[in-house]
Amino acid sequence: MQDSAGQDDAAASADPGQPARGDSLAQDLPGTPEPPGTADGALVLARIRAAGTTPATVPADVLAAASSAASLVDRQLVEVTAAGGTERVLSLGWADGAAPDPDHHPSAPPRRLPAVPLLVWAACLAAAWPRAEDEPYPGQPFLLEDVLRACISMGAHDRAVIAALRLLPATGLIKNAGPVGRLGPAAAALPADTWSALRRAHDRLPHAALRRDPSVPAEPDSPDGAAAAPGPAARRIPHPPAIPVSASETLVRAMVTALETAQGPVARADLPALADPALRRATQSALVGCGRTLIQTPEGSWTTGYPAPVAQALAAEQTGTLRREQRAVLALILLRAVAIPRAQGRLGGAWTSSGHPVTLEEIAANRQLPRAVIDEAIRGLRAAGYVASAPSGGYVLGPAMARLSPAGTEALWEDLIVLARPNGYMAERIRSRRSAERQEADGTLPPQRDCEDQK
Amino acid sequence: MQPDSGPPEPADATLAAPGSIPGIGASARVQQPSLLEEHLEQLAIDEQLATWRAFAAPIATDSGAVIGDPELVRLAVNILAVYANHQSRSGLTYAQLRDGLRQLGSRFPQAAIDARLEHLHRMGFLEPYLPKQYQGRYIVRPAGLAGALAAARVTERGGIDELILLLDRTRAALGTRHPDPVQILTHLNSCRHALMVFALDLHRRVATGTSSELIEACRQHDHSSFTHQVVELNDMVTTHFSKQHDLEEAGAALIEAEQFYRSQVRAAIGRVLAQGGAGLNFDVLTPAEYETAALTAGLDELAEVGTGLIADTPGVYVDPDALIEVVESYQPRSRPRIRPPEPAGSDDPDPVAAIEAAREAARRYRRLGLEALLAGAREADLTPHMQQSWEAAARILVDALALDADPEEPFVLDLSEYLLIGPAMPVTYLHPARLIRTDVPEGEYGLKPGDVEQPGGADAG
Repeated sequence: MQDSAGQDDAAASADPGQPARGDSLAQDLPGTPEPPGTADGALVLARIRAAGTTPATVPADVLAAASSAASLVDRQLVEVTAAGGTERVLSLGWADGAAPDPDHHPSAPPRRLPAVPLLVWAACLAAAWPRAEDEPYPGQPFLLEDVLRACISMGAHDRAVIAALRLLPATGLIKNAGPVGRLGPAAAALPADTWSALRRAHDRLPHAALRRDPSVPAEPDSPDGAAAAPGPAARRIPHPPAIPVSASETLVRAMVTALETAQGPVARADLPALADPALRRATQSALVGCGRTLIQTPEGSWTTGYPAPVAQALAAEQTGTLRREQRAVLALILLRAVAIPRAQGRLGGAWTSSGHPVTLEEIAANRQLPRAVIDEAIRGLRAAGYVASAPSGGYVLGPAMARLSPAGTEALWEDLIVLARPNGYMAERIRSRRSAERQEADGTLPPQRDCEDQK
Repeated sequence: MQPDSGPPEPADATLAAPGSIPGIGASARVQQPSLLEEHLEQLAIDEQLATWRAFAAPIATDSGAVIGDPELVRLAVNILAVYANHQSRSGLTYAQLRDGLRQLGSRFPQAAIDARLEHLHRMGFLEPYLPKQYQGRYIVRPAGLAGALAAARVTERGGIDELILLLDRTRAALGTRHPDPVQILTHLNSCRHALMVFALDLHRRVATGTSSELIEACRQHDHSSFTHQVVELNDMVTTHFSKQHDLEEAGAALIEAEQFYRSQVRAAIGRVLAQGGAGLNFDVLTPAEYETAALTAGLDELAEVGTGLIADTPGVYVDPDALIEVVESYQPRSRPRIRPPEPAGSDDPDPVAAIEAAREAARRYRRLGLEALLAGAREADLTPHMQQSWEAAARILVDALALDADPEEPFVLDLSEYLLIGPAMPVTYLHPARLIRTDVPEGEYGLKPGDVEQPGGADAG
């Protein structure tokens, strides 16, 4: 168990569910004095969480700090080639022998792919990895059309396969460049145990369905020629040598893994160890090093999210932020699913987990947004976790809403107030306060070390 | 001038279309309210009554002069609707008023309604149509109309409409060609007094009010256009009365009062934001305002929401067993369609084939019979054969006609027009007939007529 005495200060500023507004990122990090680059290392890991990858052009001390923080929660940085073929990016893989355990938190299982997307990825994997003795990543490029044809021949519906081919790049499991696809950085970050199991079952992947009919000529832009020159393989960033860990540390790593891989908040019954203040502080400390924080929902469940300073830093550099149309559609969903029913007194409880469904027709009642824009925005919002499909039809707030910190939730509430009454004193007051906070941050905080600036 | 208060509040249900159920009807639709809802409803009624007591205090003789049931005020408002809906133009009797009120959903018993109508008559709300004693038709005095509507409005808006009205009247007075300085001074002072009253009330609520009281106050006072209106009024005063210090002083005092009022509104809003932000209370605005934003806000306005949101989804968990299970659950489909096998022979008879075979057999027998009559010749006289019996004549004639009609058969039947009569013959009369075979050139046959078997037996001929 970690030294709790040395973490009292950190616990005070990073009390679960009560992150201090306006604190600098460094103030949220545990332990004094902290190693150089710790705050930036946490930001690197937060960028990976938000966008899937981050450019690998990171100073050595920052990379070492990020790698060290990741190793404390059984993760390991992986350097892979981006889809363009030249840029190297960082992804977050798993340490040797580590992997999520879905049985650990049945109340909020890990995010899994539905059947058709899983079939499509299996076909992509078979196309990119034709020989079991080769390294699976980065594999060979493949034609998306071949995958589409193979899945249809296996009985999948063509529209479902096309939708899956749109979904998979958002998960990072594949990357598309026009008609050609490749395995994505999320595939490189899969646990080693997963790859071992896939290698054993390699002959059961849908290779037969991918075989071309000899009478059909190959496309001019077929990746057959490119297969001879695959990109460089993934490189695991070395982390500090493993040291024996205590039972408490093992428990903390398991809890962080459960919280970070769960689709939504994890019930208290699944993580009873978090009731122990010392273990809770240790978990919070491990999360803060990764640019995350522990959050307790109003229902008492546990989840993780970005601390306010990290979220502000990511928003400032536009990493993982929502697009303009996505924000507009989310605003409409929030008005319909939260603001109106709650103002009418029809809903209670935590509004970030509102299960009030909103139909597409209700969203499209706003004539300023075309239906096609709404459809596209909803796809993006679902990929970002802010919207989910209701079992009874329509859309509800997604699990990412429950991961908002109290400051983030309050900011969203203020946004809705300003939207609904833009000319009131309340909106004026909110705007002036935010403007003052921005000016204060610009004037007092040191300039941010952006990886892009250091190229 | 319209207040900058967002979308208008929903109209009072009592002034809705005829036939709607006002007031109590709305509460009657609520199913089994909880204790909390009942408590909140009672608080709302108490707030209404307190507002009316304050509203009527200047013209009441004692504290018991104000009604204790809000439904009685709605009844007075409903009387206006009864007059509007009724066809009579010469006043209504109490009975007609009672019927009209019942149609609008009044729950009061007849005696209570009569007592209330009598009270309204005594107070002058209802006036006799004609100034005669013992006549029973009444109309509403317009001042009563204003009182009923103001009583309903003051509970909805907390009297803020009066401040807006004062500002409007002052602006209208200043907008005339020759504004009256005395009237303008009175209006400016009235505006200042009203602003100070509201500011002091807000000051008290900020200091001691509950969260719900502050939210209600913010709903009523969140009109940032007041500042603009007051400054505009002051400019108009300066323009029209630049040398009159008392008016300029009143304008400056009005601005000071507005600043104090604004500071109190901001303090109330600050507390609401602090409390509402912690509780994320959406009651700070009305549902209609959210609805309006959802319907009319543009892309730019909507996109201001959630600028600080960051994508936060866990990575996908790939279960190799599930992946292989899914792959194996989808089996490759066979592309070429295989022709189904020919069905095995059946013992069932084919009726069509049987008919065709019977028809072919019949034609064959007819041909053989006629060829026997021809006996190898190209032509033959059928008359002797037909004279043997009616049965033979009929059979030969039918066979010959059938083959003559068949284009595939080379037989022609030549029936004579004259009639051959033989009273001693088995066939007493008949037309002579000849059979001609058309596919054999004349003279090709070498057989003589007696060389072949004669149809009809050896005794024929």
